Amino acid sequence: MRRFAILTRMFGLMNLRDREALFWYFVFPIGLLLVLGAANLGSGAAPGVVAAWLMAGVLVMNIMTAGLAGDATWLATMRDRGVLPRLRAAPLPVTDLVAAYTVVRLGLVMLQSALIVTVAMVVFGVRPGWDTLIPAMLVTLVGGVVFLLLGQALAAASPTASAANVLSNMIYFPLLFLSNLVIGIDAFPDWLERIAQWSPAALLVDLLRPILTSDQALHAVWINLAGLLGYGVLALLVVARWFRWESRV
Amino acid sequence: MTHDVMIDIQDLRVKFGNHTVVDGLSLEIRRGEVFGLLGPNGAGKTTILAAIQGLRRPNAGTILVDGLDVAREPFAVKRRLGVQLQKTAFFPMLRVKEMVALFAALYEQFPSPQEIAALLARFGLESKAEARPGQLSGGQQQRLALALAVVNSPTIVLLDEPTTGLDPQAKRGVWGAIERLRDEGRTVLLTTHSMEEAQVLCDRVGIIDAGRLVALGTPAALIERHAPPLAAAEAARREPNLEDVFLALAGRRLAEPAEDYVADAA
Ligand SMILES: Nc1ncnc2c1ncn2[C@@H]1O[C@H](COP(=O)(O)OP(=O)(O)OP(=O)(O)O)[C@@H](O)[C@H]1O
Ligand SMILES: [Mg+2]
Repeated sequence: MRRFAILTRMFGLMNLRDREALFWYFVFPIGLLLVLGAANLGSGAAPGVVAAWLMAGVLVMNIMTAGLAGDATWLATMRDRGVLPRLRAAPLPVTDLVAAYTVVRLGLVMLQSALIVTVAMVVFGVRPGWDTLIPAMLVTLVGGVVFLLLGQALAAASPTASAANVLSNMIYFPLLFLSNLVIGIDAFPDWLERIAQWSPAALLVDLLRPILTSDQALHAVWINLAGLLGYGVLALLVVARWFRWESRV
Repeated sequence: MTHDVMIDIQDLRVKFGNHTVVDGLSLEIRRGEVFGLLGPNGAGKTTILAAIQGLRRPNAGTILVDGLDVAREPFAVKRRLGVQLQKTAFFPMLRVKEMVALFAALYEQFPSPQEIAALLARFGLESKAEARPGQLSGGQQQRLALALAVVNSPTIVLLDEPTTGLDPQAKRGVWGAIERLRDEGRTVLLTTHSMEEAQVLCDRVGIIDAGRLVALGTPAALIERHAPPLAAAEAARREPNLEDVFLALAGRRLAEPAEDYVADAA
């Protein structure tokens, strides 16, 4: 347990000292919320309503970013640089390594989420009560775990960290645009909408947004949860099967 | 339980694809000795260490470390081993002292700041505790890798070319550190390309060529057995050394099968 605490502390330090990563963690989501929020100010709808809708989308986008963008492939990068082989010579189970990494990133996601909500409240006058914030927090946690595992799965299945990056981006951007996050899904053809509503990001935002706004959910809560869980389990299986300590090249 | 053989390798065979890299190696490393593996580039030294560390699964053969089967109890084995890899990299964002704390923790050890400072001092890194790996010279990184190899007070220390790339003074420092490991009763298995190092430091050496053990014994015994007589002019200037043994064995390797040169265990 103490070992796990030190491992997470060190991973946390490494993350917070990485300026480039800090951009993705904090500047990017807040910036996006501000820009899109400002762009919608003149749209006629009540600003608080639009902002709440956007806030939910940005929260999910931020979770996605943590799992799939920026330096989501950090562990794979460490592998390719030859850092992990030395760790492997120590009696450290893979599960501890991946879990410590996931816990640190999850902590960051929660921190970012709190910041996003704060900015939405201060700048755009969104007023969520505790009865919505607490379930929203739980959903954020679940979504965070699922997306972080998905990122790890992509990294494990890719031959190199740069391949993992390309693959993650190939998934990240379609998810970003097709999952009803910050752009309404109505803009797309029906068939695409029917597929896109089952993406992990769409399931997550379909869970989160009805909590934070008066929007109706597309699916029942249990369907969204089961879907996310399914993605999470799939990701775990891929990690368990393909995780490598050493670079293949 | 105590064993006199700390590392017991029997009929070890490791292949990469169709390429046999370790070819039926049997070798016993004894408690408390400093054992040197010598051999040309690509001989299989690193691969042998990787198999002992449980990082490379052998195609055949068994390895016991302190009586434990590496294949069956990899974690128990890893806990007993101190490891310095030939190629290693560090987390770029951590300071040296944090790296030590991290690696100690991986072995369930939690040294105090004073203990960390003492360990760093032992490898001449006392002024580098706050530095990031990128701010260390190559030799200093090498010494950090060595410090990390003993962070868990291992009974057996595996060092893959511990002094390659070090300046003469740092090299002496590392030799001193290795001698101290021996004085503390630890067993050391190291690889080296330096015949001088093998002669100064090692109780016994094994010469590996193309994945086979071609000579085994104390440096003195190997010199006596394998070093060709020096020409009179040269003999006046120097004693025969392991360099001569290595050249003799490596030179004749092309003509005859390697097994012919396996000496009896010293
Ligand atoms: N991952 C790998 N895949 C394929 N072949 C490998 C791999 N690692 C090592 N080899 C091959 O195995 C052989 C032995 O390599 P090894 O690293 O054990 O040699 P070594 O004795 O440590 O050499 P050096 O003195 O250069 O460090 C070499 O021919 C090398 O090309
Ligand atoms: Mg080597």
